[in-house]
Amino acid sequence: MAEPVTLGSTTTQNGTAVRTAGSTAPAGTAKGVDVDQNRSPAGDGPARGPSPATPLSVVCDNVHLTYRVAAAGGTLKGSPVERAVGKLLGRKRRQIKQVNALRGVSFTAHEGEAIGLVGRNGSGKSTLLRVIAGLLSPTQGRVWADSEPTLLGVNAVLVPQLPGDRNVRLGGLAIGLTPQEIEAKMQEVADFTDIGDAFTMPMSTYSSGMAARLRFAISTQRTPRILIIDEALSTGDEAFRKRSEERVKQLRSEAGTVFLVSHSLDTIRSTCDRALWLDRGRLMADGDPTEVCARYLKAVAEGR
Amino acid sequence: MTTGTAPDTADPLRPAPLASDEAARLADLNRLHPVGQRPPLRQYLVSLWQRRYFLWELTLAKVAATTSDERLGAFWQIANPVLNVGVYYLAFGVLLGTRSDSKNFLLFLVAGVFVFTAMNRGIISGATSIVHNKGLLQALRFPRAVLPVSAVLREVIQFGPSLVVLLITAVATGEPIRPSMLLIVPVLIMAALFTTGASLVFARLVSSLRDIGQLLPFVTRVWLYLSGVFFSLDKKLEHAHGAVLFLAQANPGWAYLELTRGALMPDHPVRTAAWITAVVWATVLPVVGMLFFWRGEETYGRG
Repeated sequence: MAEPVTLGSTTTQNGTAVRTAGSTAPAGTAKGVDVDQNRSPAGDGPARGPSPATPLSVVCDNVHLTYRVAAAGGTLKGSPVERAVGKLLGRKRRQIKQVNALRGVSFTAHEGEAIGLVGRNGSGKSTLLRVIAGLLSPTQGRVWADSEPTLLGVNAVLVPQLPGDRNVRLGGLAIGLTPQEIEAKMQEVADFTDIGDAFTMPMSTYSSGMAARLRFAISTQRTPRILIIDEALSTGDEAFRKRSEERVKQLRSEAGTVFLVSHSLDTIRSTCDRALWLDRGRLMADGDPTEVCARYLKAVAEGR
Repeated sequence: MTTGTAPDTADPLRPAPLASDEAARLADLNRLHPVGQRPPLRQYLVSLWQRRYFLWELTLAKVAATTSDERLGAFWQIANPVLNVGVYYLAFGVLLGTRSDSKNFLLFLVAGVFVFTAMNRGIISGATSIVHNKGLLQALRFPRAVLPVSAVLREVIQFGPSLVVLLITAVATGEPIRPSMLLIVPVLIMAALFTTGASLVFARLVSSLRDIGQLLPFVTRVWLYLSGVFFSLDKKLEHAHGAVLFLAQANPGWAYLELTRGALMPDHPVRTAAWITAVVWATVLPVVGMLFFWRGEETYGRG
């Protein structure tokens, strides 16, 4: 666990904790404090945490992620003769495409912050979450965190043919619990899931709601300091949404940090106190969720 | 760096880029740890050991899933190699006359087919374990070596019924039950270690260059013919010498098959070279494979 490190003892109205620590003066001296409205030429974002002096939990520095995919090409190039020959030979134009999923994303996150990510499909939201979670390594740039960030994505490991309790064991081990911890929590998970005898039946027999409850119960057995929720990974079940919202609130009250990708801007506005707008792998805006969402919607409406 | 569309520097929503060394200093100041970087080898091996229960449960889950998917799942585990034995017996033993290569050709063939099939399947499923588990890699953090090792462990578990059939065949074809039959245990353990090492090597190769996955079946086919699964390679080597003999005897497939046969058949001659080859591959390849795989750790699951 990170010990609280105060960034700048002078608490300004809307002081910039990031700049404070980054300035040449050692942290904790008034000299290093950048007062709001007095930004350095680099252009500061105002700190948008519950308090400007809270310690950082995540630092994301100029993160790039490029991957190559082999794409089967559509039409064959060249003269009609060349195309005919190509067709005869059964040659498909195959090209290696470079996908720049992230192009230079930088930001810092504080303890107790809930940060929502908005942007179109393919804008890099999920990729960024996976980079923060340490599941994908950036091709350039670095990420630091105060503890192991955990992505709420236990369903990837669960096996439908296995009964609920076996999946609790498998999922618990997958998120790093010990067998003893799992045995101790088994009853708690069974109670929370509240599906009675179905708990010992194969998961493939569950309704989507039952499965969602079980998945949620498994993934929240561990209380991470940095929780990452990608709604695309879960079913859009209403009960799940409510529970995850509760979980976000609880974590934030414990000074944890939450990252959330949601297709509902309402969810972002109601559960987050900060939003990041990503477009084609670039960070376009960072700040108050209502304002960021408004700007994002404006850009979508303008077709940019 | 980010190039915001808004030219206005006073824009409160404009993302703040970090100066070149600022991020590192901030991280240091807040005692943050780097994320998503390959851990040092020692730490990697420790975390792999800590995840042993996960590895075991994951393996059991996969075994249970495959056997319950098909109604006769467990049956096919046995039936498949048995049918292979039948085909090879007819094609090679009878038609090409390799039956005379061994006094107990049926056992010779069963031992060869079963052990070779298990190694082959272990290597192929281990090699593709990274590319076939993208969802798992992009959702959960664990040492990635868990996947190829688990794939091999799964084959080891599924070899259990084959081993029973193999021993029954030995007894049924009149081989005496002797204490030296127990040699089959260290031989199979060595074969499993070799398979693990090979899986680790191929898992990284296939994940970085997927087309190798297409090539792999041909490589293993060639390996099948060179390992003397349905004929006696030793007979062919009687007049071989020099590089040919060395290369033929350096083949781990040949070594593990010959040692398995030697353990079950008292009158099956086993060259000393087979022991050397078996031990060297089983000790060197897992180490080399783990090192090679670990060096690619941060690239798995990307794209």
